[in-house]
Amino acid sequence: MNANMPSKRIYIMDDDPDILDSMRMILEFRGYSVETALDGERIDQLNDHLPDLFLIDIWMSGVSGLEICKRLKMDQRTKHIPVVMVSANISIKDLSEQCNANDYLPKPFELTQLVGMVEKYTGGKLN
Amino acid sequence: MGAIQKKMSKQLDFLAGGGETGEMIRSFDWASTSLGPVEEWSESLRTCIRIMLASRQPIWIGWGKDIIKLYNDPYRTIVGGKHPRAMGQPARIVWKDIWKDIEPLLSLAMDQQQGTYSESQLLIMERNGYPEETYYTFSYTPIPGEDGKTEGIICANTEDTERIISSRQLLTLSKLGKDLIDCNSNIEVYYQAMQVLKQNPNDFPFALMYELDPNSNTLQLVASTESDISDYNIPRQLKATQHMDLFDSMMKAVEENKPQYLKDIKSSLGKMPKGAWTIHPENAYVIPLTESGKKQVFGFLVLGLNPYRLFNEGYRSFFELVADQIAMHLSDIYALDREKKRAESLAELDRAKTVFFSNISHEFRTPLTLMISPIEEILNKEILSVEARENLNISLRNTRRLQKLVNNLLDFSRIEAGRMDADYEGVDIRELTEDLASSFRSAIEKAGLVLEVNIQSITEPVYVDREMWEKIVLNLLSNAFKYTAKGRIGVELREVDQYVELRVKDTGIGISLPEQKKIFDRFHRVPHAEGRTMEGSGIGLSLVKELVKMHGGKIEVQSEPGEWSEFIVTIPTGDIHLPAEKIRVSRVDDKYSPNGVQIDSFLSNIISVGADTPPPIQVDGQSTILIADDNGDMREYLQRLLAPKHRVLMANNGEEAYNLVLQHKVDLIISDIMMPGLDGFGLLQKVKYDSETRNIPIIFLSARAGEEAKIEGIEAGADDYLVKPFSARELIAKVDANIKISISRNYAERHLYSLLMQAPVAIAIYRGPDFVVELVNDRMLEFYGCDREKVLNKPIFEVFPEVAANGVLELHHSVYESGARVEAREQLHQYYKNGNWYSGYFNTVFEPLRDLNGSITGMIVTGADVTDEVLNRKKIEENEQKLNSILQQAPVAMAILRGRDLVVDIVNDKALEIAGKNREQVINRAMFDIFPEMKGRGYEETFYTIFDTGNRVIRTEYEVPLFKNGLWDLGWFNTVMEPIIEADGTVGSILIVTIEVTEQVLARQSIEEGRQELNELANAVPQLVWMAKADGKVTYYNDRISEYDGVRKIDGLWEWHSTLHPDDLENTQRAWIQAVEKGTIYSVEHRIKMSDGSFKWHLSRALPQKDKNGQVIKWFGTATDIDEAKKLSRQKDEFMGIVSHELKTPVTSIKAYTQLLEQKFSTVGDDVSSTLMRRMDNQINKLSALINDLLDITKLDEGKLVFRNENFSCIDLVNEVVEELQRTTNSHDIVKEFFSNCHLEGDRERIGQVLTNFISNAIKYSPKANKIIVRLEEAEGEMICSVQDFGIGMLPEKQSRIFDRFYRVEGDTLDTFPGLGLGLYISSEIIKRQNGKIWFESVPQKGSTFYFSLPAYKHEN
Repeated sequence: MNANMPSKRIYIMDDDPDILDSMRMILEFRGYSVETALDGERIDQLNDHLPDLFLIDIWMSGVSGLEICKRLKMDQRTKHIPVVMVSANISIKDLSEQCNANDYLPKPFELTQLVGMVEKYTGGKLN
Repeated sequence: MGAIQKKMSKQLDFLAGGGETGEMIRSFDWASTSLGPVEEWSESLRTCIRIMLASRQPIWIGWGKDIIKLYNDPYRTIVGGKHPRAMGQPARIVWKDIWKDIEPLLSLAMDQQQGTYSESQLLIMERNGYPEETYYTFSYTPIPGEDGKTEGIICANTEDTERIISSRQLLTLSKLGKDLIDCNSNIEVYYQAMQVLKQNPNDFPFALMYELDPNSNTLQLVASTESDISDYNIPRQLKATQHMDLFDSMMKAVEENKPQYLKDIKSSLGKMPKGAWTIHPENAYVIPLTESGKKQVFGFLVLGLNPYRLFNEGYRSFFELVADQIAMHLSDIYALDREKKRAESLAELDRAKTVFFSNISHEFRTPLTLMISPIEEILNKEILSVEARENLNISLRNTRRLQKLVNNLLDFSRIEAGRMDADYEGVDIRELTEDLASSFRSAIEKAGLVLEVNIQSITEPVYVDREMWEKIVLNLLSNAFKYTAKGRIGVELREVDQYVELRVKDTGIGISLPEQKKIFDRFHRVPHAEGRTMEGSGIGLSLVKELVKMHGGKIEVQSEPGEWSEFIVTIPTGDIHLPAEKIRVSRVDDKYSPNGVQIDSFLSNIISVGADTPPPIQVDGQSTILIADDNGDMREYLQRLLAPKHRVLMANNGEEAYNLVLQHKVDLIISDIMMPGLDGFGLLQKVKYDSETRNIPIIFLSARAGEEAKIEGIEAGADDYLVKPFSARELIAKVDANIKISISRNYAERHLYSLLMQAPVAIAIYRGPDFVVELVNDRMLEFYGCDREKVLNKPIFEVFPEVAANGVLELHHSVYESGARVEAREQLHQYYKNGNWYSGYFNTVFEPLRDLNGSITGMIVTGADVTDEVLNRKKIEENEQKLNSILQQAPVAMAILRGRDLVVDIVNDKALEIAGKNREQVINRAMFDIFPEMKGRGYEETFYTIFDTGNRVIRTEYEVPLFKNGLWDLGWFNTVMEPIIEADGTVGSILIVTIEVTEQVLARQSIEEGRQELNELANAVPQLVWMAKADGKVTYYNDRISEYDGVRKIDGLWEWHSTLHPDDLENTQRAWIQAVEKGTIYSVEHRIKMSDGSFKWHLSRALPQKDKNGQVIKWFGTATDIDEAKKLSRQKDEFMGIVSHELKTPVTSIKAYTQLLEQKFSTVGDDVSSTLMRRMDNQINKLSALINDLLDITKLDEGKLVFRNENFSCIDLVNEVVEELQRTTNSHDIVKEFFSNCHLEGDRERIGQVLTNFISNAIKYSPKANKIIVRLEEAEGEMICSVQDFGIGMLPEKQSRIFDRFYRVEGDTLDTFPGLGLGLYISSEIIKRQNGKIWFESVPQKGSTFYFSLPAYKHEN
């Protein structure tokens, strides 16, 4: 890992704290900077320091990941940021296309899949 | 008779009137016959002719030795074509065709002066030039001349032909309706229809049913009225060449779409069965059977025609009605069949899903166990870093969460499959509940909540299944915990009336009123509830409800949304509400402790609980058992064994025991043999010789072993025997068995006793040579004329010494000594009843009673009252003597009413019978005095008109009210009122001749009612049935319409908007318009509004009925309620979706942690831990695969599996799949063989899934092999992919089910080959839905090859 390079920032939304925790650990282990949210409320409070990638769960209590993705993709500020939908839903492929997400990652996923996906959308391998 | 003769003689023109036949009689040259000239005719003949001509009833008179025939106008139809030449002809010439039938009757009347009466006699008459089946009721009444000898007969006839034939045809039709309604298949309809027709062999000498086999286009005989057709030339299969006539008429029937009359069936099929007749039928009627709404004929009914009946419109339409009924039922079956299949498949799906639940739960447990053990193994190592330990703990917690889900699922499916086995026992429910509540305390307090436990005293015994009660309490508590963020959780237990009440209250989020109603529904989950965790799959509360139900109790909920919720469980105390065989004696020495594992799974924080066993409590059972033993320890031991279930009394010795037996109602005695004082045998003797106690079963206990003691015990009369030392189980089994026997024996004895006491015959039992009265019933006491106390247990002849006289005592002795039964018939006896003495006739029987050895111990005396029978018989004998008057035997009612007062001058018995009066009541009395009820109904006017005009009045089916046998009734009569003209030309009297036709009128009415009945059959169907015109205007509903809202209007178009659920409108309209336009079957599933305003799912179907041009003329429709099945199925699908999602979430985090840990362990070089982690990951993959299958199946069921359409290379796909799978297995080498390089168009991912499934199956089912071959080939534009293994293969009988859902191959042992049996089913659905084929070849122990083929897209060269 190159200490001089600012690390890539990943924003993860999921309503299961354990999943958030494990994803954070996997990605932080690889030098990414991870921000997590248990619900969609905070998405509107994103400051100018926008992440490099969104990983969003589709089925969250209280809010739909699809709606959040659509909103991000309509917002001039965020529409360029890649979004990967993460879900246990069997129709994840179609749902992701519906909300204009860049890609999808079905749950449960292999560690290598998660890392591969993040690398793909943040410009290749770190270090 | 004198009066009438006088009046007649005054009148010169006795031949007046009488229409055509009257004229014939007047003009006939009677001098040329043996009757001689009219002037010489006797008064009797004149009177008879007068009666005959006046009657509307068909009457003929046979007079003189030749029985010369004279008849009236109504009779003409009977002689038919023989009129007019029959007039004046001798009867034997007129009736030569039936002479053999009537000659004996005539000679009886003529020679022996006996009247005859024949009712509905079958006569094959040639009235109209052909032999015809006719039925007549007629009587020959001998008429005496002046010298008293019979001069001739008068015969009144009623033709019953129409009535007999209509009623039997009606019977056939209504039987068809009744018998066919239960038929479930075409074959059954054919068979039942033939059975019904067979019962009417007059109209159906034979009937054959040929069915058109659409495959072979042949006509097969499927049913016939002949049980054995081998005696005839009836073909089983019709051939155009051999059975030309019949075949041609069938073809013609199809062409013209109408039945055909087939002449001379003999030439086609030879002699046919005769049915009820003596000659073979000549002709037949061929009716095509068409399914309603379809043009296509599916069979023919060939009916033999009655040879004695004109094939007229009536006969024809009857046949067609029969054929219509059969066709209608066949159509019904067609319609019902589909609906039934639909309902069955829904039910089957429901069952399959239940099985599936139970399977999947088991399947989940294996990987779960395998996941937990490596975690625990690593956690036990001390070298772990804090971080790794924390990660492992999270994994463990999530695994437990999964485990709880799975356990709930398993319980639930057990209950649903009816396999949850309860084991109820008396428990200290206070302690049990308190322990369970306390186990939550630390978790609750840690979360900052307060737990308040309030357990009050419970006095009644409570029976529960421990494990179930634990689940009830733990579920309610964990729910309360889950939904309460702050405040308190209260657990309260108390006794209320006959119930124990458990209340679990929390200050949580509460439940809204609509949710409260649904909260116990299966699979229901409160939406958007903010719980402590997101887990929960909506099973918990419905599980609790089921468990409470199993305890005969109920659960309720009260809540204030946002404030609090309270769940109240009540279960009855005692054990009467529980099935006896499930109740268990409390374990004396089992130390009970609450199920720690179970509590763990409720609380992720581990709180171990250990509690001491509550002592077993003693319960008053229904049975009282007396223990007699001098050994105190033994007594106590026995008491301990029996007390939980029975009331136990104890005695030190035999004497004490016997006293207790006398004081208490003891159900069973257990007694030691050796006791001081009165020993076991002594006690036995005392108990068994007292009639009050002799039925109490006694079980002996003895330390003396061996056969000898046993024989002694049983011979002494003990019921059972136990040798010390005995096991507790043995004792309890014997006690239970003996109590059961005793109860049933007592019941049988009581039953017999009450039977004897209540018998309508007098019964007494005498015992011993002194005839001591042991039993006497009330009826017998009437003979004794005394109270029971006076005779019971006393010698009968001591009580009644006077009865001993006249050989009665000797009779008793002889029965007692010889053992021979004595019977005395119709003896006159006196008896005493209600304070009076009566006499009557009796049949008395003396029957000896014997003991087991056959020696006589007494006798049973019965006396049956036959007074009525004897008196009746005597009365009949008297009546018979009275009934000898000529007039009285005439079947025609006659009376002469004199003057305007209508005084009854003469009347015959027939008339009296109709009037319901006796002679004394009517003779010489005025008509309207006798029948005041007839006044003011227009009858007077009728009579006065006759007096005024001198014209006769004829009334057919004249309705007359009759007061008969104390009841008002209506009668119908054909009546002639004939004026009798006096010498001065005025009307002096009126002769009334009448015949009752009530029966005929009623029969006709019943035919009409019968038609109505047929219509009402529709109401017997458990569905809404409707009929509509071609344009959809409804013309008929059955009564079920009352259950529906909005569609009540007859003759209106469907009011879709008010009837159907708005979401189903479009669908329904589309289906209906399509059906109307194309004339096809209308079939749609939609929600219909019920009368209570709710919507229920229905399957609506309608078949169009078409005319011969194919135009729809009518719709025959049904709506079947499929709401329940549909709802359940949908709920389960939703549920499966939720479960899958819920399952995937913990799996995702476990997987992530596992891989993370694996990486960390391998980074630091801890290879052992790293290997364990990889093993665990493997199990997680299996779990994921299972969950995916579960999701797929849900989608498949809903038809929601969507396929993409993309173009891809097969080789690439195979390479990819094989590469991935090869990574997971070291045991097998997956060999690829490519013979084609084609592209496919379809869902690449799904097809890959199929291939994955094939290969993983191949690995799974070939554990001993090491090679698998994957092949790609191409043939006839199809790409064929196959996977070959060298494994266990399949037995041929199992092969047919391999693609069924939930089916799985069984290996050597079940656990060798796990898998839910979903994979192949899903694969087959995936391939089929993309227009491909899937199949396999398999040889047991050699291996299997699975194939699928899909249309190839194009080659890539």
